[in-house]
Order: sequence, then structure tokens, then C-alpha cells
Amino acid sequence: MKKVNKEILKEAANKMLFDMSEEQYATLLKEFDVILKQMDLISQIEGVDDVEPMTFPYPVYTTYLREDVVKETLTQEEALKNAKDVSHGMIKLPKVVK
Amino acid sequence: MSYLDQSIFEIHQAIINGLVTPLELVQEALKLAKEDNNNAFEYICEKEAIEQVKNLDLSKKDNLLWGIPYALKDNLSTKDIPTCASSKILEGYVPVYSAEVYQRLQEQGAILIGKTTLDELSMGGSGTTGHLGKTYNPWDPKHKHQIGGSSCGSAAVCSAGIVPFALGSDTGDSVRKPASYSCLVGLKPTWGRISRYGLFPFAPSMDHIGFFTRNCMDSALILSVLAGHDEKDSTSSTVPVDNYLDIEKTDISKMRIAVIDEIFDSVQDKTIKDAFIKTLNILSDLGLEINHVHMDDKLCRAIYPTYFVISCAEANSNNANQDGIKFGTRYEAEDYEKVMFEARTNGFSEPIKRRFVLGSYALLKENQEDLFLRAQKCRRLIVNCINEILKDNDAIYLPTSPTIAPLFDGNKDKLSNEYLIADNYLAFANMGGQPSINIPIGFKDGLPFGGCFTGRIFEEKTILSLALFLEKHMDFANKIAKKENE
Amino acid sequence: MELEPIIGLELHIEMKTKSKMFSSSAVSFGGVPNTHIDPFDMAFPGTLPLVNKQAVINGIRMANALHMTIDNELWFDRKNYFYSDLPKGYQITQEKRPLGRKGYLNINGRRIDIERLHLEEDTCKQLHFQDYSLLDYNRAGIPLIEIVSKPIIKDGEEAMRFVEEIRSIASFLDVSDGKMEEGSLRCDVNVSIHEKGQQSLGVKVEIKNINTLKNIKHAIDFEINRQEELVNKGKRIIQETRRYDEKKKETIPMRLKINSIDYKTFIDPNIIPIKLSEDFIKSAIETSNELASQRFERYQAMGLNDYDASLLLNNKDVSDYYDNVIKLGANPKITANWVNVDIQAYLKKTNTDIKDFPIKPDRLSQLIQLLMKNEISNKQVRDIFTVMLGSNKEPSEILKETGNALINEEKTLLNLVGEVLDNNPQIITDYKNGKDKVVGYVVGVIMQKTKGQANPSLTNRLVKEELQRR
Repeated sequence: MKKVNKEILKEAANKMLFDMSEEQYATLLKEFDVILKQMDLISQIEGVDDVEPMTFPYPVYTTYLREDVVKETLTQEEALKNAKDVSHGMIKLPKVVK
Repeated sequence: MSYLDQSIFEIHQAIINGLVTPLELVQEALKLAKEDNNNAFEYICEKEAIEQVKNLDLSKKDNLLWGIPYALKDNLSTKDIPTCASSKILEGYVPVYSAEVYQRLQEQGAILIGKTTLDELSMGGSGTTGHLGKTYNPWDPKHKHQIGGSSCGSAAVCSAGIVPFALGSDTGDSVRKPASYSCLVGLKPTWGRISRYGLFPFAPSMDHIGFFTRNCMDSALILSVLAGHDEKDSTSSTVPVDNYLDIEKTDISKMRIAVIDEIFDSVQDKTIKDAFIKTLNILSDLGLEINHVHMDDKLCRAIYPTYFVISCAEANSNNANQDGIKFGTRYEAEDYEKVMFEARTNGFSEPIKRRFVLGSYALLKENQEDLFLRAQKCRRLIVNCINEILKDNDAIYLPTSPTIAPLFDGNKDKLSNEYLIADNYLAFANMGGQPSINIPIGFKDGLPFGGCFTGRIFEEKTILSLALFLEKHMDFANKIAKKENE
Repeated sequence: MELEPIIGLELHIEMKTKSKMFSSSAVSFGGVPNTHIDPFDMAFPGTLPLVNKQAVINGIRMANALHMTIDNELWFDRKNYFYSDLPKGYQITQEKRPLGRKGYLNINGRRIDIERLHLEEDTCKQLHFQDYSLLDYNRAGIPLIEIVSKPIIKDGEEAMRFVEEIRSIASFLDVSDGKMEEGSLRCDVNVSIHEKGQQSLGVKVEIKNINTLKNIKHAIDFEINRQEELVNKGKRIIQETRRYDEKKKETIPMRLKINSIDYKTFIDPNIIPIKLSEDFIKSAIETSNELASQRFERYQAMGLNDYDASLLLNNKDVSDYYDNVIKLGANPKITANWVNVDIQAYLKKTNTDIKDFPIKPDRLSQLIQLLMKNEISNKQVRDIFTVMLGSNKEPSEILKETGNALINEEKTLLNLVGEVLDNNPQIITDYKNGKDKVVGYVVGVIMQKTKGQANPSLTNRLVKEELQRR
């Protein structure tokens, strides 16, 4: 079974671009423990590795493809309405290090 | 007596007969909304609702939903009306486009009274994790009991009699469970039956839009309006839509009902079990075949972790767009990464972050096989098992929840069978997309509980007609919480 | 120890479809910022992707031109990472099941295997200033084709030719303009070296930021050299990402070391798999434009030499122009000359694109047909051509106005022939003595006398006949 500790969890959180309090990491560690144990039990279910992973709830296939037709929907104002820092019709960010 | 207490059909009749006008209904609903002390609203559409009513198209007066007030869970996009999915990270977000379901209801002439609270970003089952805090259960004026979640607000406003119907969403049980806790009919249709365009995603492969009503015919009505293919959602189904309004004519007497023993047996509460058996007897008295079927215990216990791992994985990806840059609360920092970091650290609540970390961890290359992919494999086993049962049975029927609405400070033994199985089995219908409905079947200590029918995909009519039949043989339809408690 | 370089290429081609890969907003280049936006492009919560049919057709056509096996189902994945230009926090791409697999191109007689071709979406555009950046989402969601070669390219020259060929194919199929300077064709290179004959590959260095075809060759040549020098000195090659500096003509380590990111790729649950029927794939292929190579064969069959044919095929618009001229009846060889020499010279001098060239195919065709009918001389064609550059008039009209028709009357010409021979009886003697060159001399004199208006071939014939007669 996988070994998980606070450092690994903190790294995972930071990669997701957020951080948590120390207590939260402790709570999370406990939750991880439970889930990983449960997943371990699942790995022992007969036949579980004999089937393909299932993404969709039931067999779904379509032949539908969207026609290449332009439908303009938003004005510049609407597109940027919810952005808090706008300059010259574009969203402004502190420098992006290349 | 408020017309808002009645069924949609009755309110409609009252409008037609000139006994009440849409404006009066809306004004009443808005008044009740403002007085609501269950913390059920994110936003009350005072101006917008009056505006909508004043602009009602008189030529559509015959529509059953014309002039009918309703509420939407605040994870449904409504143009020009703030929508924040009860999360701090989306505070102040005003969508520039509308969800398909909102558009359809507008076309019918229904009037949006407000956006309701939810567990943050639809992730939760207690109705307590939204940024406005706990949503209460109108059935408990002392505010000690939850109403469940994640569609807590919609359940509250419907059961409190503020509106005759309210939309929610169901990814693991988020409509059916709160419905059980609040004496409502809560329907989760087949995956793809209703367009998800505009539904803030939690786990797209298991997300369903569902809704609360106080009786089965109202539920059939809402379904008939919302069901059907939408070209803006390529996962919405082109399977033809049934005529749900004639469920009264459906002959259910020869249907076969399956009760999964392992799940039923894991319920401890005797009152609930007895009430459930009573409903089984009502069904068998009519002539229905009741089959007790078996589902591998390991598979039953696997439902929750399977659902949890898959949903956390999909959720963490869906919410990677929350960075305060295009929308949401923006924080200033020295570089773009810090801007995103600040937004997400401050904007997501702790429970959400924990789910994201788990979901992210499950998708890492070195873990994907053992965690995410294996959960997806287990999903297939579970779905195969359920579909196998549904080959020889028209519906699976079980208690929706093993308890009445839990206390806010109650403790659940998360490793018990009752928790793992009876409290969390409903997710099987999200994994397999089968239509599933809660119907109230009893009360204990003044709080309701329900039974749940799950049918084959696209057989909403079957479960609606079964639910309708039980409803007619019991007295739990059209109950308004506050009225009962007075 | 003999060292051998191994090069792999990763190309991104921006498609010029009307709408974006997963949404209906317009594909535009250089529009007003943030004016071609669908809610999906801004990753507003609740929006959903809808796959663009034309983009799929383009992908099929490209994959077919690269001799690839085409999948009969379309599956899309999410590639998750954070960056300022990625609105959703993930890119929709095809990792597990690319549209095309296992193809190849023949470059100078050598087969270069291609690993995969798949569809994905572009990121938004960033404008960088000293202490801030600006985001324009117009580009976010534009359809991209990604092509990955196997690591078997042997040097910079071959790599450049490979990319040229891909660009040509994309251009001729109308999939993309394929202009590296404009960003509609992007090329990243992987370079490693190993001991010749060894199976194991060396340390891979990625090179980004190459923005012209020639720089592909320069960058690779430099890098191979750099790596060989290191190895020969016994030093290690660091696995890293470098960028090509055009001014210094060197590869330089990028400030940002791109660590191997775990993209946590999984199947996108918002896009149900799309079945591509055999008929759909077949139809996409059968209705596609001719590739340059197919046009080349056609030009060869019409009698053009390889050089002329290739020159015409350097640019699809030029080839289209040429095809439109000969379609109307102009002689292929003569037209090829005109296009490759005279027109190209004009375009270069005036910095014009063939699309804006003032003489449209119909007028050029008319002009050439006048020449073919021998109604005008070469000199007259040139003159009329020059006039046509500045006027909309048809060549026959210009000809009438300037009165510069060829002298075709045998009688007039014969008189002139007689005049010349009478004044230069020596010519007749020379001719009888086997000096055929005098024919040309006589024709030249007559051309001079008529200021180039005598029909050259007719005059030539008449001179010969007269010389023989006398």
C-alpha cells in the first residue's frame, strides 16, 4: 500500500496551487489512511482487474460533430466583465516569468 | 392558506381560474424567501423576479409552469444573476450565459425566486460546508438537524413551502438524500436525460441535474419540461423523451421489485425498516413481485470509496479554472502563480481542498493504476451488478437513508456497515446513470425519511409510476414543514 | 568513438477552420483582443466542449497524407497543469488514442517514421511587458494538430526538409498557412547523441523557440556540435530545455527549467467518444485537395521539368494561380515560365503576394494564348504584360490599341525577304554552301526592319523557302 505523509500531501496541495493549515494536513492524512485502506480492499475484489476502467455510466457513442460555423456570442465587455484587472481590453497579470 | 403550499397543477388551475395572479404568487414567495430562517438562499431575485413576472408572455398562459415560482441551486449558471456555488472563490461572479434548464424554465414562464445554498461546489452531503454556513432543516425548528446535501437550500425552500419546486444536482446522492430528510419527492433522472450545459461541474461522469417537488405528478411535469437533447451538451441523450404526464395510466401491477438484502440489512433503525417493509407490502398486495437479491458485500462496501476517488479526481480537474484571473476573487501578488495560489488558498474551504488533494493524488502517474483506474474498474463491476439485477427486475427499491436527518454535531462511524453501505449506496445510480427517485415513506421523531426506487436507464416512467402508486397509498405528499409544526 | 545524432521533432499546426476546436467562436488572427470569445473559451463554470467537424476532417486528411493508420473512434483526454495562458487549468488533447498513428514521410529518399498525429486546442496569447503581462483569449481554443516524429532524423538539414514537407502538405490541404514567423506552425526539437551502432539513446535535450525553417537547421547543427564537444571532452550532457537564440545562433539554457510535470492525464468525461465511420473517413480523404506531390506528378505529365514544377509548388497560392491559368487553355510550359520568372520577379520586386497580383489568371491566359496563336511576338508579349500590370484591360484590347499585332501577311513578309536577299546576294551563296546560320541573320534583319512585329516563325519559314528557291 502507498506510503503517504504530511510532506507528500503538502507537495500535492502546493502543486494544485493552494496550501492548508497544519491541522488540515493532519485531518487529511487520516482521511487518506481510510481511503487507501478501502482502495486496498477493492484491489482484492475478485475480477476487478479483469475489466476495463469505466469512464461513462453506460455505453455512449455518437457520430455527431459540430458544423464549422461561427457563432459569436460574447462582446469584449461580457468576456471581461468578471475579471478584476483589465487593461486595453486584455486581462492584466503580474509578469509571467518565461 | 397560501397557494404556494399546493401542487403545481393546483396552482396552475388557480391561475387559470383567476383566483391568484403570478405577481401575487411571486410577491408571496419573495416575502417568504426574505423571512426564511433556514439560511437557504445565496441570492433572492427580488428585482429580477418582479421583472420576469411583468414580462410574462400572456400567450403562454396555458403552460402548466406559467407564472409558477421556483428556485435554482446556486451551481446553475444564470445570466446577470450572481452565482457562486456557495464558494468564497466565486463570490461576486456574475455569469454572462444561462444554463439550458434555466432557459427552458424561462421559456415556460416559470419565475425564478432565488438561488439556493449548497455544500461548497456541490461537494458534500451535510448542507454545512457552503460559505454562508449551515443550511437548516425546516422540519426541525430547533435547528439541530441537518437537511443533508449538497442540494440543501433547494430542499429547504421546497419543503418550507416557499416554492413548489426547486432544482438541485445529484452526483452521489445530493438530491435524493436531502429529499429523504425533508419529506420531498427528489428525482435524479438518467445521466444525459437533462442537459448539463450551465451546471457547474463536480464530477461530469456522475453529475445529474435533479429536482425537488412535493408530489410525483409535479416531478413528472418538471421532467417533461427539462428532459431532452440539447446541442450545447454533447453528452445529453437523443433517446426520445417519454410522455411522463401519463404515469397515472401505467400499469405497475406486474412489475418486479428487487430489494438488495445486504443494503437493507445494513440499516439499523427499526422504525425505518418497518416503514419500508410496510411499503413493500403495499406493493406486493397489488401483485408486484418482490425479489430479495444478493449483492456481494465487498462490492457494497466498495460503492463509497469508488465514488469518492472518481469524483475527487474529476472535481480537482474541473476546478482548476478557479484562479481569480478570469473571474472570482482576485488577489494581487508578485507573479501570476502567486495570484492563483492566493485565490485558491483563500477561496476554497478546507474540506474542498482535502478532496482536491486526494483527487490529484489519485491521478498521479505512479498512483493512477492503483487508485483512479482501479476505482473506474470497480465502477464497472458495480454497474454491471446493478444492471444484472435490473435485467430481471423493473426497479430496485431500498430505504433512501438509514436514519432521519442527522444532528449537526452527530458522529458517524465511518467504518461501519451502516455508514459505508446504507448511508452511501445511492451513488451506484450515479455510476451507472440509472434514474432514481426518493419518495417520503414515514416519520420518526417529527422528521421524515424516504424510500428510493432505481430503474433502468431512460425508464423514468417506471420509477415515477411506482413512486406515484406508493404516494397514493400513503399520506406524505404535499406536506409543508412549517405548517406541520404549527 | 563515432558519435551519431538522433533528432525527434514535435510540430504544432494551427488550423484555419472558421470556428474553434471545441466552441463556435471565430478563429481569427490579429483581431481586436477578446472579441472572438465563447463562454467556453474563458472557462466559465458550466460550459461544455463541442468537437469541430472540420477540424476532424483536416486531421484525417493530414494523417492520410502522412500515410498513417486512422483511428475509427475519437477520444479526448485532459492534460492538467497550471499556466497563465491555460484558462481551464487543463488542455483537451488526445494522449491515449491519437487520431493518427504510425505514419511516415520520404525525405530525400529516406523514410522518416512518424509516431502520432492528434488534435488539441491552443492556449491564449500573452503579451509580455516589463513588469506585467496581458492575456488575449482570442487564440484560446483554436484547433491544433500535433505531429510527433520518431527520433530517427539524422541532421539539421533533414529536419528542416521534414518540416518543409509537413508545411507544404498542410498548406496544400488548406489546413493551415503553416507560417512559422506567424506562429501557425511551431516546431520543438529533441536532440541527443549516442555511439553509432548502440541501441541506447543519449540524454535528450529539448530545443524550443525556433521560429523559422532555416533556424531549425541552425539550431540542430549547433546543438549536435555542442553535445559532441561535451562528450569528446568527457563531460556530461544535462537533460534540459534550451531555446534557440537567433542573434547569437546558439542554443541557450532556458531560465525556467521545465521539470517533468505529471499531467495526471485522464479521459475527458465531457466528450463522449465519437465514432468515425469508414464512409466519413473515406469521404474526408477523397474530397481533399491534391497534395504538392500529386500536383508535381501532374505537372511532370504535362511536360514540365522538375525544376519548374518544384518552383511552382513552393507556394500553394502560386500553384493555384498557375492551375487556374492553364485551366483556361494556356500552354503549361509557357505559363510555367511566365509564372516562375516574370511574375515571381515582379512579386519580389514589389513585395506583393500572388493573391494581390494585378493580372488575374484569366487575363494571363488570354495573353499566353495570343502568343500561342502566333499573333504576337515575344517582345510584344512583354510589352502588353507591362501594360496589363497597370490596367484592367484585356490583352487583345491592348493589342488593338497599340496596333502592335504581328505582321502575318505572307506577301508583306516575302517582300521584305526579297529586299534583304536582293541587297545581300552573298547570303544566298553562303546558304547554298551549307551555312544555315544565315537564315537567323536574315530573320533578325527583318525583325529589326519591322521593329519586332514580323511573325518570327512565319518569317523563318519564308526565308528558308526563298533561299531554297533562289
